[in-house]
Amino acid sequence: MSLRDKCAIVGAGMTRLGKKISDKSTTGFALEACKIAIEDAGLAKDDVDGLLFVHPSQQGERHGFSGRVADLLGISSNFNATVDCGGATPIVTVQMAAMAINAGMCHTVVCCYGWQNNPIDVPPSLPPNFEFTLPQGEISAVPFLAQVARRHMHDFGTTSRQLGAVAVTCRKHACLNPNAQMYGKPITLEDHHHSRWVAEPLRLLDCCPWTDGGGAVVVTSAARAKSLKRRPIYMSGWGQAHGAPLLRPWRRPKVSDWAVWTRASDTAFKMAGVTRKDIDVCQLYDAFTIVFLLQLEATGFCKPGESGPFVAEGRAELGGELPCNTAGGLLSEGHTMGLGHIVEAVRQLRGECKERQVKNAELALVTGFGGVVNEYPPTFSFSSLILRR
Amino acid sequence: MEEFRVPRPLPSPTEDSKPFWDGCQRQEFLIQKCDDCGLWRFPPSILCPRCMSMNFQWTKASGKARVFSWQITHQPFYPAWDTPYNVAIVELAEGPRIHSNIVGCKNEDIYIDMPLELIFEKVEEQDWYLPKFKPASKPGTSRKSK
Repeated sequence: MSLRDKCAIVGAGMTRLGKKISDKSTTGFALEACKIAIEDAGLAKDDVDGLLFVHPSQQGERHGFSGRVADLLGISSNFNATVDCGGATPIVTVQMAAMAINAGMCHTVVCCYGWQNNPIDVPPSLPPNFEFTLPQGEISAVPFLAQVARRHMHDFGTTSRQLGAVAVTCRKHACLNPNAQMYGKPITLEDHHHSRWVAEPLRLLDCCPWTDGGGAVVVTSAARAKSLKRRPIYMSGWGQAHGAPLLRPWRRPKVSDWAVWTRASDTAFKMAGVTRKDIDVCQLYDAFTIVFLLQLEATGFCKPGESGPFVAEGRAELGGELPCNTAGGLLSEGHTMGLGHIVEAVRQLRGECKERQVKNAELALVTGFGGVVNEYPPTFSFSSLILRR
Repeated sequence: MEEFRVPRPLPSPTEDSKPFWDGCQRQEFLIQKCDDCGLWRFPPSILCPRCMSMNFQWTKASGKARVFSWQITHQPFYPAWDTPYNVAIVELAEGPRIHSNIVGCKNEDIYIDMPLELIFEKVEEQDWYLPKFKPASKPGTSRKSK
């Protein structure tokens, strides 16, 4: 049984996003986001009977987030889980919501994310002892993606300037989004070129900022969606792909071959019954500029190695042939683990985006990418979602 | 007065990886090799990710390798290291890839496919050996040149 268009996103919202917003905890941001999304749908909290929480992976051993958030929201849920696939998670949660609804377990699920970077209850500590990366000095995701960028440059001639074009494109779009963390702070290719190295070949402006904030979406059945105040945004197709290509050379001889990992989006396109040419607007995961390029290749919009020139030619900008990351993306709207990408796709399809609106947008592709890279083997999770109005 | 430096973090082995780290302390580079399909695998695991066999031997690897990719860390993410320093993903002649550091040459001289050989290096002021790689001593030792 295909679940094409059987469920819809009927509510979506983001909290304020920024650096050092110290008035809410991780749980607090998630709760605020749930309230915004539920009210956006025109629902009361008791209309919601499921909750999925996007796992905040780095705040110590804190189990059971989803249960606490649901209880603090005052809902009694029939479906509840904390989900962890790195940056692929927000899309994975809406997929799970749709599957649970169609299984008859529940009828309306809120999928939420929250993140406080400097929690007052958790003292700063040594990063977890990843035995095969920390003693070698590779700490955090940036250095690992720098290894990936180096290899992409070697295999395809991708340049730092092309990475810079990704940063500039996202920033340009963020300057049309008053809620973006980098709103009002335009950058140029020169700014990118002069920003400091974090982990060479990645510079500061190749990296997304630390963001305090949250986001949430409400998923329900297509039948129920029709009776609600918002125009339903249907979930037409979705897919996933997981693995550890960099450390499994006997499966993937070259790093660049992960561009053949179009299977997350292939599954989604097949389910939705549409082609890549039909997509009006894209929200592609972009925690780092190199990740955005990989996403262009992993979604099949570019052949391996063609993503750098594609962006440098302005083809991913508003007004270009494939407008991408129209709210600014993780790079400039803020790092909400990709939850913001789903919210922006919904807003584009509802026609709410004012200056940054893609005209007559009917079909959107959203992708997530979880690079869980300090554990061994470093794994990648791709998730994709096709939405239509 | 000497400048205080935070000690470098050491690996905490798991039940599955302990034989690898124990080998390193004896300066033996032991990698798991599947008894049934012959695959050399890393990281340590109780079963073969190709044929699911649980039969394997900890087998001495050649120590020959080449650079798969590398990065230069400039931001001091943790104060145990002086920046900038390199971290590389190296591909062992036997197939697996692992994270390590290139020693014995300048960061600017590292390149992809550079032939390497294993050495064990003591973590400064601590009783622990980590596997590192240095440029291969003579041409013809890399897997690529065979």
